[in-house]
Amino acid sequence: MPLDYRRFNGPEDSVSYKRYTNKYYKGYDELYKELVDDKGRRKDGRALDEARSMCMFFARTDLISQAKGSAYIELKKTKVVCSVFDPREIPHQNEFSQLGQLYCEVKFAPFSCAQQRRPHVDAEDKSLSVALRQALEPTVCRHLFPNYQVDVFVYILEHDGACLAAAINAAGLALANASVPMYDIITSSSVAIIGKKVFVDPTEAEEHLAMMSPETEGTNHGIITMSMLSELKQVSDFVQIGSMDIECVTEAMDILEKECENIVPNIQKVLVHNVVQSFNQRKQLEAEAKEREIALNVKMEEWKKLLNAG
Amino acid sequence: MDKEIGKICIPGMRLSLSNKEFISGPGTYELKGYIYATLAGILKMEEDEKTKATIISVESPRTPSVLPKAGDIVTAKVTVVNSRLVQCMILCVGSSILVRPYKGVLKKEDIKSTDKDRIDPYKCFRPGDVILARVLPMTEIHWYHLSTAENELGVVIAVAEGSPQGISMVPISWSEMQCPKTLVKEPRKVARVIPENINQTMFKDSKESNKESIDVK
Amino acid sequence: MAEIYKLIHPLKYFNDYISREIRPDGRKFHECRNIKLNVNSLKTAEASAVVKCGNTTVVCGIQLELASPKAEEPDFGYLVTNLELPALCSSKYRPGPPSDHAQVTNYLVSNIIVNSKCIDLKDLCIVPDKLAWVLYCDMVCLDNDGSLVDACIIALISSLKTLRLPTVTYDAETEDINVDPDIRTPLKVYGLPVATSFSVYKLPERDILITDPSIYEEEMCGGIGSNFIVCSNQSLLCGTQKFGGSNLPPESQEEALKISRDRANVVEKVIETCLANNCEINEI
Repeated sequence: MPLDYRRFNGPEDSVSYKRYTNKYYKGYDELYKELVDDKGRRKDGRALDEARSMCMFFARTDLISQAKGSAYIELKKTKVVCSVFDPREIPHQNEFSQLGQLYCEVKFAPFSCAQQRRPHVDAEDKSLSVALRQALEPTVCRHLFPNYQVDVFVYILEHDGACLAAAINAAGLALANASVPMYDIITSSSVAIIGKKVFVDPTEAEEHLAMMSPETEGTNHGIITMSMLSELKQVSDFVQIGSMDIECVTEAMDILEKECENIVPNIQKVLVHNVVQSFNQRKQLEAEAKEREIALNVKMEEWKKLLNAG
Repeated sequence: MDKEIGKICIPGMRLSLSNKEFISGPGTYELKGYIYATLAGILKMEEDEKTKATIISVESPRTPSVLPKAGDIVTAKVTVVNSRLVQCMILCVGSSILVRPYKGVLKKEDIKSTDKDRIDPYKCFRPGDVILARVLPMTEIHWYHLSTAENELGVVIAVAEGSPQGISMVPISWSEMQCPKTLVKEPRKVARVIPENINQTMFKDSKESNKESIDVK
Repeated sequence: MAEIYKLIHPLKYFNDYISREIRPDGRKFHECRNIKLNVNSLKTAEASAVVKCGNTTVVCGIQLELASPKAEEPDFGYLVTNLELPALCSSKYRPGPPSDHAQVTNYLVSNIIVNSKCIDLKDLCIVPDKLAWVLYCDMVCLDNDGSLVDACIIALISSLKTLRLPTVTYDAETEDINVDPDIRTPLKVYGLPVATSFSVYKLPERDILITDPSIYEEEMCGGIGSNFIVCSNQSLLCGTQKFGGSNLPPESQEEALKISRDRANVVEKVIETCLANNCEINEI
């Protein structure tokens, strides 16, 4: 890898200390056993079909003062920040385009995964960025800003599975917070499939195992992420990785549709709270401005009197 | 609490039927006979005087992320002046502030409505002036065409050459402005600002002189 | 209306405030913004800290790796600090490789940490010439609202203070390395460097020193970043930077040094309280 002169680089041959611990190498079966206990509970105590959205979902807006709109979403350990900026000129554009564009960028923090991530843009970042853009495009009224682009930046602080779904949810919230006109609220969810088990809203360990191909052939495995426009009942993005049969996919779609709808009230709550807050804030500011104006007018009258007298 | 503010809308919320009585306004869109919201904000229902129809719109607490449209009045800062055109950065559309400035261009023939062939841009604008202008239909990518060919449009705030920053000149005629401190006179295409619209804080320093001129009239 | 005024008459708007001895956000000239600190909130990093100075938000995470020391310094470990200014933290940054400003700030932060000698790199060496710790300290700015260096140093120091190194056994003959992550020893941190940013604003009559400027104030005082950064490590200076063309009278400089000393005490208290709370939580 070429040396990056813009940053400080560590020694080239450094390796994570975790490689030397006893628990580093594990077989497929061992990992599989760890995921679910005898009672069908997952490592963090959830049932297989239980998403983190119910109790461990945390979201808020207006986190970043410098951005037009921003959002933060936490699914237990997965932590995602998103900021949205006003439309700007599309660089190096020569043709007139009727529809505005979305520029999406997903980045992982260097410390977001168990292994250190080098700060270069890699293929995973790029593929997530493209998936995010495709998911968001149908929901934004792009005809309102022809020839311009809206920037959507997503930063993943901690990655513990379902990061594309979290990124889409955060971006949808941030876009609404930035008052970018949107057709509908967008929500997203993902599942990991290992054999007959369907892990809703998977963690990193579950995703990791779902991506490994098991030794026995013909077993379903993979990850599906789907995003939906809730009111219009439209699927805006559907990504399936891994190998599985068709029944499995259709079954997963039903589950995902339900999960996406489950998140909607959460998002609505945040948005309504946000509107109430900003209007109250504005009211207060207006009241203060009015006070000042009255004070100013009084002064003006005094001046007028003085002028008339002199 | 909610009653004080009004009805809260969020994107995708179905607001009403779309027909002769209800028309979709800003912040909403129409689909399959219904009106939906596109912004998170507060529902506004206003009656149009001519058609008696109710216009449904959503007011957002922030400036919506939309761009200047043809016909809008914008506030812009002049950046470049040459013999053919004037370039500027658009700062505000109407009363809403843009977070990102957009580029605008004012062609020589669009500066004044009279004497079009004898306009000299150097005698109308200087870099740094704040102007009011109207947006013309967009023909070029990334450049908004502007026009000041109206009495109410043109320079509102300008600083004379050599005067300290922060002291703006006072209009003395439709084509000249004067610095209250150094008494330097400079030519400008002055906007006739309607007195009600004068922002008192904006003209705090020149208030006295302004008032004197009003009194004289 | 005030917003429009600010946009059209930026200089006058700012002057109006400053000449009345107050800043646009209501602070006095030497009033600092509140500091909020949280440690060990990220589980993928070995140690982490989130700090908020006003709106400025910086997250720092440390990850551990092992490597053989440099041949010329066989008993030294590595401390690699990097600051990311991603495009999401301000509308002024573009996506892509680090900007000049990011590189300069990054260099400044690493310089302060190295020069204050708060980490002895010899502590990071496990077996001379064979094995040493590499500390990757990555700072990410999520919201840049001025005085970036201050926030970075707080985040970095508090995460270094919470870092606990796993024990390593090294077999000299077989060169086998074994790490036990369950038994950990805290890293020694000597001293506590605290940076304080200032901006110098030129009024026609006099120069005014502003402590802990926001990004808007930094911009009004000429360009990106603060004009003047003083870094003190327990009442010892460990770095003073003065940028930009505006001149600074000697009285202001003395004043700045005094303020930075006071602020260092405040920040120290904040960090100590936060770490103490964190320990309590861990014990429970």
